[in-house]
Amino acid sequence: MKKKVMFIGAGLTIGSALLVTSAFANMGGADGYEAYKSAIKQTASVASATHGITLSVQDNGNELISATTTVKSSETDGGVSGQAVIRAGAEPQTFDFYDQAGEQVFKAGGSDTYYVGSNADWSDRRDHAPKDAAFGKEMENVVDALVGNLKNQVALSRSSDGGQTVDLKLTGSQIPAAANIIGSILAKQAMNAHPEQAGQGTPGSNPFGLDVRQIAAALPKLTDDIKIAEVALHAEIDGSNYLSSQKVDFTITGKDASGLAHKVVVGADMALSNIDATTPDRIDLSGKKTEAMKEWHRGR
Amino acid sequence: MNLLLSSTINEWTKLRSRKKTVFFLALIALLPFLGLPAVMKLQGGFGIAAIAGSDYPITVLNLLASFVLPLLIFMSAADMFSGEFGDKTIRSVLARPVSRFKIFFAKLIAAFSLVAAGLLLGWISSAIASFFLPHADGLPRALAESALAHAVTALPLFAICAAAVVVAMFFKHASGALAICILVYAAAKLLGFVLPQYAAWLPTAYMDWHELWIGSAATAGRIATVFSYLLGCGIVLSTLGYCAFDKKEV
Repeated sequence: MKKKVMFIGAGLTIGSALLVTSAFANMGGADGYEAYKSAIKQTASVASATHGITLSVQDNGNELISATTTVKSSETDGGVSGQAVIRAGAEPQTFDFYDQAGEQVFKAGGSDTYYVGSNADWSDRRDHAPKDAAFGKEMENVVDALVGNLKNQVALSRSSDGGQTVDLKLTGSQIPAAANIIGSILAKQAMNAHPEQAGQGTPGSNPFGLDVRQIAAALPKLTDDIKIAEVALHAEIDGSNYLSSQKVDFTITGKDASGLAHKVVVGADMALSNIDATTPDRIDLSGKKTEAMKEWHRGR
Repeated sequence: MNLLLSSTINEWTKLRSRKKTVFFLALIALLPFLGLPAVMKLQGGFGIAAIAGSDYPITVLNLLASFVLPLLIFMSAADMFSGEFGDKTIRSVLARPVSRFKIFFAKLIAAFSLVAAGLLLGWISSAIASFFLPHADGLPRALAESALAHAVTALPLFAICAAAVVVAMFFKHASGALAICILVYAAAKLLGFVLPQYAAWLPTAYMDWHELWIGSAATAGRIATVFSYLLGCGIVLSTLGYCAFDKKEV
């Protein structure tokens, strides 16, 4: 009898001790995921900032395409300005854009024409976008449910200067099968897009001087065994809870028509600087060669 | 100790001689091959290899650990506890000069070893099946990883096993216990979609905790936390199950 009581006592004590340990380690709260989410919200609320975005595509270690964009945006005066440099093949293509006082201005590096659109719809839509807190909360719940158990995979580490680092790495079977199948099909479609579809007409007729054909041609044409091999996210959160930099990499493997194996890494690197201290550049169009952009849209 | 061992063998023999146990084990062995044509057809048609050979055992494990093995656990627990109390066959077991403590744990060990056998069988057969799929990268590493994944899945299944035994102690008929076990399990799984923050406190949320073990960014601290939670659950639930078994009138 005594042995029995001792056993039950020991079982309940040890078991509950283990449960309490896990409760103190905040098992239920996916703290990496929560930290990342809170930093995204905080970062979305900044009034002005400079975003440096680099998109790159590598194939078996060789860089095929890289696009570096610097965007200055400010909500206080409603302006956006930016430069983009796209390298695909030999010649880099540059590209400037401005959003100032309700008009959008685009200019390609190779031409001296400024394309101006007075697309008031855009600005209106952005200004009157519903900032409904309840709706935002609902969306957050939906995203949480979709992320599901993956949120446990987000690792968090704290650095000595008050910043945090968030890491997520999913390989092979850790990527949900449905997401992998859909992603693989999309990747195949994107890489095998016909240049005639992607590039509109001859390169010269492209209004922005952006040669889409050159970009499409640089991609390897994967036809078999395509899969998303790895998804990795690395984010740095600074002491004021802003996402100071984040990097997302998708690794896609597959074979082309000749049976050659490819490992394509599509990466996005985003950095945030000059928070609440950025003034977008403005362009004075007086005396410059301009062309209305709406006509181009209609002409198509 | 000898009494515990022979009681376990006794319980194991009873389990093994049930046709449905054999059916379930056969299903586990065949499942990877049944899924193979569908995966091959889907992927061959699109030229994609979303589920490569190296990932196939883990994909099958996710299916086994969330549906097939819990069902096997509920069935065994319902038969071994509610069923034997219901049809009074437990009397012949209790009449032996073996303490209730040993009989209870012999049953628990027998039920758990059935689950372990299911996991082992699932791993062997999905590893064989994976040879028929295109391989993205090193197969030996993938096989070692999937073996680890199968081994660590035994822990959440043990917690589920202990929980099923506790539920089964409240029922006099195997069918009632089975139905309630399935309902509770389905509700717990559903809670994971509706209120994930609360579902994280149920052992059912960790059926796929093997994902933490293989090549992810999860820290050792996280693994230790979930490990101590699952072990704690298993110990507390089996102790509670024993209390109920000890007090149960025949």
